[in-house]
Amino acid sequence: MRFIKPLCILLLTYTFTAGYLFEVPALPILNETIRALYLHVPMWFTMIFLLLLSSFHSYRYVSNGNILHDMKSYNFAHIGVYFGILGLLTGMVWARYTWGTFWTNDPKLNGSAIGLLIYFGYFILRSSIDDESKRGKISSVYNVFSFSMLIPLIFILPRLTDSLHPGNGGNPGFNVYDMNSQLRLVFYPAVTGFILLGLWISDIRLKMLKLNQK
Amino acid sequence: MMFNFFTLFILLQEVAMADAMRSNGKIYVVVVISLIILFSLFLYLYRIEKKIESIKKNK
Repeated sequence: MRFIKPLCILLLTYTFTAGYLFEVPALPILNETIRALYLHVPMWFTMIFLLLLSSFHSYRYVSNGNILHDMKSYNFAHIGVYFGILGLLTGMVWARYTWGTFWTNDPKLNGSAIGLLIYFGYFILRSSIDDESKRGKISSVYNVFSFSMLIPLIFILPRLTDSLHPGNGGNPGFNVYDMNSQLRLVFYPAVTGFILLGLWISDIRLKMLKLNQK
Repeated sequence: MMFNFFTLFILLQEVAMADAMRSNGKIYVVVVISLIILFSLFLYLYRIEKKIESIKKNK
């Protein structure tokens, strides 16, 4: 856990300098906004990663009943949804200047919005139950279910139809046509850096939750 | 005529100044601004963490 902070700072510093300065492919319509790839897409990666951890801890809570797992799963979901909202907002700005509107009926957009709404349902469900063990059990089961809903909504359904997002509409993501090595040079460090930032924030918030519990 | 050539020469002359921040369409300025925001966020996170830990110790 100790390497998280320095590595996060290093990778994000690299992202925020190389992301602006390195050469990017010159493509019509996208122009310089192609650099938004380094910021917009890692938001979703971080969200998926944190929500995966969240559902994992929910599963652990259901299997062994340790309240710490319930706390962790709630915490990861909370931070993950924040990153999802950031992904949605940054995507909307990007869409405005490349696709023409803030919101299109793109299956990926609608899917991610529905996915976030499912998680809002999780928070409402959690806050509506007072009894600790009952709250833990019900919300954990719901959380595992909502992650398994999120995967088809974000990754499978957009590929079955046409989507404006690259790598969708039949093709797997990250194929040779979508990303070249110049983009990968910044993109992968950016993804790792933002995931580590998500873990760092989650760690801080977990400490706070533990203090409240005592 | 001579005067015009002279002023033109002066205008076209490369003057050694802090040009590093102005090259490439001033993108370096954006980099510096982003890094300031990023580092202040890191500092903020770090300080919050320290504060929470100190509260934990006092309890």
